[in-house]
Amino acid sequence: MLVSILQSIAFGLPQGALYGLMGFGISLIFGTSGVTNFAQGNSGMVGVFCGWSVLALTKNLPLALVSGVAAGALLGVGIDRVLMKQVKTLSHGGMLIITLGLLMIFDGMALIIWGTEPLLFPQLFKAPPIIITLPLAVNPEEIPLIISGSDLRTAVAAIVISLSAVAFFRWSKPGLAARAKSQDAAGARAVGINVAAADTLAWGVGVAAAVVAGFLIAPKSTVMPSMLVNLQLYGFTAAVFGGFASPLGAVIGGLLLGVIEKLVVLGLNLLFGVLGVYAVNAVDFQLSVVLVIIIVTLTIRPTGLFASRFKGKV
Amino acid sequence: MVLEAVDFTVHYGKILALKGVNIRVDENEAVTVIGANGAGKSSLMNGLAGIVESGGSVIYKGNEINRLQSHRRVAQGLVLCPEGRRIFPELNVEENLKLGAYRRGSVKSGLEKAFTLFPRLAERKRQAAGYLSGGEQQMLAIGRALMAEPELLMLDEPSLGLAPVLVDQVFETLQQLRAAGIPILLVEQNAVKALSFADRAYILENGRVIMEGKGSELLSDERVKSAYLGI
Repeated sequence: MLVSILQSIAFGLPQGALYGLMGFGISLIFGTSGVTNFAQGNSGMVGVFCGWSVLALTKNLPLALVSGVAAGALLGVGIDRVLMKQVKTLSHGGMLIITLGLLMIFDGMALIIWGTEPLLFPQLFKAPPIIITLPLAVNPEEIPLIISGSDLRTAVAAIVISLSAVAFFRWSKPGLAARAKSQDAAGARAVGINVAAADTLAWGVGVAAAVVAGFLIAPKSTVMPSMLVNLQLYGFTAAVFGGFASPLGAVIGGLLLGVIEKLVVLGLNLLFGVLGVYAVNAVDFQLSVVLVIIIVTLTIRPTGLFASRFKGKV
Repeated sequence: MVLEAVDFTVHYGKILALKGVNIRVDENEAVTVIGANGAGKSSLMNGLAGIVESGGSVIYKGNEINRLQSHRRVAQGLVLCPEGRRIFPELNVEENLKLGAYRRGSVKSGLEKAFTLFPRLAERKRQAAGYLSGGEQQMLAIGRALMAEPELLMLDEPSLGLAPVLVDQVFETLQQLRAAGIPILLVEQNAVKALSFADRAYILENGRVIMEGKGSELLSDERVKSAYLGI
């Protein structure tokens, strides 16, 4: 039993790290500019496709990664500067509708340019699995604990990137400006912060983070238009869970979500075993678990786990 | 002359909040603008600070600035202490003050000055600003504005929502700043306090300046007394 729980955690954390990275971008953009970006996943997908194309043309993986992330950052900046700028003073609703439109536009665009065929992307981190056999005292059945080496490295990369980005927004001068803007836009203007630039920064970094998440998941998901649709849903849950306007909360929320998801599947498996239900597979419930978490969080604690102490922004 | 607004207008959509006002602030001068709710006081301040769009002309230290974005005006020392304090609640007191020096001013000497002026803030410098009392938050907002070493300090209703004893304290602070030679443009609803503080005053009604003069003169004017001082 202990091994099964540890195994769920070992599977859950690497996924959670990706959810957290995705949630980071969503909550960063929301916290700073006030827009819930429904096109977050698809914006990331466009960046990944750009990177994939550079890889196909040049066979240079580092160059492909850098150009993909840069394309994402540019896309984010472009969305803010060209599309959002016009409606910023009107309403948050208007901006939200624009992101819904972008969701579909990017999807269609990717279909036209790159087609529906799943494209392969190389595993960025290759490492042999780590197999641990816990001592007999706690592990009478002698079941080995398997940790995928590649997943572990991917997770470490995702966590390091998320936390560096969080640190940047916590301590750097432009980051502090963006945070100040998210807490009080009028106050930010009063001290001379260029609030439009703060929004643009959040959009650029936020979408770039989605591209990074896309690159990390691409070896498993393959590169295709719908590759980040589910990850966006997980990212939203992570963000809601962690407190929608708190990027650090989203990263932690993502990790928790990854683990909870696997533990619920483990629990369901046991339950189905006890009940003698074999027609359904507990893994199929993974996505429902996510939706239930969104609903429960919004019902019980709509401000999320790490909400602002002074106002509810959702 | 530090600042002169000529035929200054602010409108929101089709609604004209300021219908062409002329206001000026000279060196070493404390000027106040008083008026009822909705007279256009905050529109005036936000327009001068570049937070809302405005028409007409604003000459600040000899240059036309009416098309400049707000952060560029702060960079030139035109600093607003906004209505409702507008501090950053999640950041601690010191971080709030540091952000005051975002565009200009020295963090080190600014912090020193702010903590000398407001010892309460020094005691609570590691606390999240959202936990401060209203009076302390107002001190923080003024302290934050001072961090930018303003060459014209604009204050939008600094006494709003404060207990009388704290209002006195705010005006004492303003007195000190004026003694230090910082030109002040103060918008207030507390007309008695504002008029007895200021060298000159404007009375704003429905987006227009209806009276102007020395603070002491307006204070003893019969019409002002009945309309704004409740005497």
